[in-house]
Amino acid sequence: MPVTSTLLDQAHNALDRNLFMMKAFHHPTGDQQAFLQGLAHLYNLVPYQRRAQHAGQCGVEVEGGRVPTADWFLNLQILTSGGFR
Amino acid sequence: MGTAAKLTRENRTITIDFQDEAPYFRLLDNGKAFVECELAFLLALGFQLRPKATCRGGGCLTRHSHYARVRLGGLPIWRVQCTTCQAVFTVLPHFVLRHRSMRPEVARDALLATHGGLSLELCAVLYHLSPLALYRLICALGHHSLVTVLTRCGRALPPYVLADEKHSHCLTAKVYVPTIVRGRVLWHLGYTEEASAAALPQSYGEFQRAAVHQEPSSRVKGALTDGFDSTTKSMRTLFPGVRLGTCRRHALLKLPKTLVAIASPVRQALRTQCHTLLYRARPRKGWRVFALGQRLRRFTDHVATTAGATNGTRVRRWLQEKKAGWVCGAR
Repeated sequence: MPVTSTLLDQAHNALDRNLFMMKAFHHPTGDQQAFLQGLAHLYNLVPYQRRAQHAGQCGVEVEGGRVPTADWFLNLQILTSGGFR
Repeated sequence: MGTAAKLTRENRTITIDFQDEAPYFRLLDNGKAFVECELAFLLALGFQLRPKATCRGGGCLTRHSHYARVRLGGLPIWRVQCTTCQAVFTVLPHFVLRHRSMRPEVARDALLATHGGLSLELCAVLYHLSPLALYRLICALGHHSLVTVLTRCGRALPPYVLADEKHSHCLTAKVYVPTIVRGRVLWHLGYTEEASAAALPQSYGEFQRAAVHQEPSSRVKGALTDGFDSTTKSMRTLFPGVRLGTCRRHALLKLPKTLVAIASPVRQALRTQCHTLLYRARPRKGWRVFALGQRLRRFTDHVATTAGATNGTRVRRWLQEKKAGWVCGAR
C-alpha cells in the first residue's frame, strides 16, 4: 500500500538499503552513531528527485528550509563547518 | 602521559567558496582582499562566525597565520582571527576537505553512490579510494548534530514529530535505530543495542538536548508513534505534556486483528475501506473540508452492519484509542 507509506518509513527504507549493502552493518568497534548521522545528513541534503514536483531539491528545501548554494556537496561542506553559528 | 585531562580544541573551520582554485591563489598574496572576500561570502550566506563565549562582538577579522597542507602539495591554508575575542578560524577553500587529502569531486561522487545504495567497497572501486576513507568521511560528517545543521538552513525546530525505531543488524547483534522525522527531514537518527524503556529515552534525549541547546523555548507539542511502549514512554518522559497519537499506517495494520469471526474477504474489504478513508484524509495541496470524525463514525456503523454489532463495538473502541493525534496534520 504505497500511498499510506509514511515519510518515516521511506527514510527507514532508504537507511535500511544503506545498512544492508554494508553487509551486517560494519565493524563492531566502529562509530555507528556517527556513521548513521552522516547518512542522515546525506538523506537530508542530497537532492532526491529529477523530474517530479520537487525536482533538484533536497529534503530540507522541500520542507521549506534554505540551503546556502545550489551545489549539495558545497552545502554539506558549509553546513558541517564548525566555525559557523 | 594521560590524555583524560587534555582539552579538545573547538572546531572553528569555515569553508569558503572561491569559485575556482585560481582566485584563491591570487587572493593569498593580498591579505585585505582575502578577508574581504571571506566577509562577502559570509554576508551572502547570512551566517555568522562562532566566536568564543566571552566575545562581546564589535570586532573585525584579521589574517592570523598560515600553514601548508603537505599532502595537498603544500597548499597554503590561512587562519583569520577575531580581534575582540582572539578566536582563530581556519579558512578552508571549497576544494579542500577538512583533515582529508581526498578531492571534493571524488568525495562527492562516492557519497552520492553510497547514498544511492552502492556498498562502500564498490564505491571505493569506482572512485579509486579506500572503503575506510569513505567510511571515515561519512563519520566525519556525522559528528555534526542534525539539529544544528538543520537550524542553519532556517528550519524551525519541529513542534510535531513522528518517532519510530527501526531494527537492523550489526554483525550478528540486533540493533535499533531510533528516528525522529518531520516531513521529509530526519531530525534524529540514533543507535542503541536494545529497545528497552531505558535505552530509547537516552537516544531520543540527544535530540531533546540538542533542541533545547539550540532554542531553549522549543517544545515538542505532539508526536505520532507506532504505539510501541518504550517509544511512547520515552516521548512522555522527554517531552512532558506532549500529545501522543498512533500513526495511521501502523494503526491500519492492526485493524484486521480487531475484526474477529468473519470471513476473510469481508475483513479485507473493510480494511480497504478504512484505508481509502484515511488516504483521503491525508493533508494535501489545497486543503479540503474533510470531516474525519464523522466518516469514521459512519465506517464503524458500516462495520456493525456488515460484520456484526460486536465487531462494530470493537472497531469503535479501537478507533477511540488510536485516533488521538490524527487531526494534527502529521501522517
